[in-house]
Amino acid sequence: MVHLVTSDNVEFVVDKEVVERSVLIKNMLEDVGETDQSIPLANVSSAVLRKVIEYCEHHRGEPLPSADADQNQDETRKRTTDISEWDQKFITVDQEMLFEIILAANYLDIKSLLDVGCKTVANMIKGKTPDEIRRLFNIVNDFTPEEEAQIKKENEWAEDR
Amino acid sequence: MNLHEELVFDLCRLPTEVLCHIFIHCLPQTDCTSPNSESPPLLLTRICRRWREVAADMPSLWCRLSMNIDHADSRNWRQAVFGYDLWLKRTQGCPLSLEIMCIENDTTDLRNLLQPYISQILSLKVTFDRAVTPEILLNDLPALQELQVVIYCGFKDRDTLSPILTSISRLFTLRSLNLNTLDCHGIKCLSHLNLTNVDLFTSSPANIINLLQTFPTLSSLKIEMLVDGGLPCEPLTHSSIQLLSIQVIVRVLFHPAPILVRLFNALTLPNLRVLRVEGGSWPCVEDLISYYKYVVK
Repeated sequence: MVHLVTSDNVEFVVDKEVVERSVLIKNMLEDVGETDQSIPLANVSSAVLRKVIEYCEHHRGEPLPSADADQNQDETRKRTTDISEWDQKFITVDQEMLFEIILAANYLDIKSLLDVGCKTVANMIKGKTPDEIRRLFNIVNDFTPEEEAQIKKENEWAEDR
Repeated sequence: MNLHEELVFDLCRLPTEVLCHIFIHCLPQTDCTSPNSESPPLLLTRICRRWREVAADMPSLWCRLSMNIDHADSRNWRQAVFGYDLWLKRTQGCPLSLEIMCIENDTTDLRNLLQPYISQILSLKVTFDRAVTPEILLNDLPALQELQVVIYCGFKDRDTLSPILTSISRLFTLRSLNLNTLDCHGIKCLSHLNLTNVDLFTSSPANIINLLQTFPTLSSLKIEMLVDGGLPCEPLTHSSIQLLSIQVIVRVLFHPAPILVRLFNALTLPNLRVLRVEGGSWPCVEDLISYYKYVVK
C-alpha cells in the first residue's frame, strides 16, 4: 500500500497497482523503493485526489499508454473526442472540479485522465462562438479594437466556408 | 454538461501544455482541416491574446490543411493566398498533409503559393477537375511520401495523365500511391520508385501479377479488379506483400470465382497477413477457406 498526503493534509492509503497509474508516483516509488513514508502531493487537494483515485481504481489493470503515444496520436490524427460512458459520468462535475482534475492529471502524469478532461473541455468549446466561449470560461476579451479589426480582416477569407 | 458550466474556473491557471492538449482535441475529426473562422483552429485565435498566442505557436494545429482552390474572383484569390500563407507559416517547418481540390483553374498560382513549403509536404491528396496543367503541382516535391491523385471522369485522357505520371515518376521519396482513377498499364513508368503501398483502380488478374513483379518492395496492394476473361497468370512469388485487398467488379459474362482461383494459384505470398476480397457474390466462407491454401503457401 502507498500513503499519499494531500495539500489539505489528508492522508490516503492506496493500493500500489492503483496509484501507479500515475507515472509521477510510479517513478517516485521506483526511485525510493519499498517505503512506509507518505508521499506529499502539494498540488492536489483531498477532494480532487478522491476523484483521481476513483478513476484509477476503475481503470486498474488497463495497459498504460506508452511514452510516445501522445506524439503518435498527433501524427496519425487518431484523435477522438469520444469518451466512454463511465468516464463521461465520472467527469460530469462542476467546472472548477473539472479543471482541478485536469491539473491533477497533468501534475501526476495520468495521461488517460488528462485526455478525458481535455476532451470534455474541447467538446464544450466546439460549435460555440467566441463570445459564448468567453462567457463559458469567464475569459476577458483583451484584444484592442485595432487587434480585433486586424483579426477580423485576417479571417475574412475563411468566413462561411 | 450543464454542471460544467455552473462554477467558473480561472483559466489563467492552466499551464500552456494543458491548453495545447485541449486545443488538439478541438480539431475536427476529419483527416485535414478546412479553414473556417468559426471552427478550430482559426476560432481559437479569436478568443483572447493568450489563446491566440498559444494556438498560433502550435504547428500541430495547422499541419493538416484542406484547400479548396477557386480563384475565379481575383480579389478572393488574393485574400485566400494571404490566409493560406499565414496558415502555412504557422506550421513552422513541420511536416504537412494537404488535401487540395483544384477545380477549373491553372495550378501555377497554387504552386507559387505552396513553393516556400514544398519540402514540408509529406502527404498530398489532390483532386483535379478540369484543372489546367495539373502536373505543375506535382513537380519537385522533395519530401513527399504519400500521394493520392483523383481525376474526375471525362478528364482521364492520355494528354492529362501522361504529364501527371511523368511528374510522379520524379518523386523519388514516394512510398504510398493511390491512383484509383488510373489503370495499372500507366503505372509502369513508376517502376523505379520504391513503392510500398499502392491503391489502383481497375485491373485484370494478369495485371495484378505484373504489378507485383514491377514493385517487389510492395507491402500493401489494394486494387479494384475487373473480372474479364483475362490472360493466363504467370506464377509469381512476392515476399514483401502483407496486405492484399481486391474489390471485384463483376461483368455479367464472367463469374469471378474461377478467375480468382487462377490468380491465387499463380501467387505465392509467404508473408501475407491480410487478404480481403469483396464484390459480387464471391467469396462465401467455403470459397475463402478452400482458396486461402493457394495464397499462403
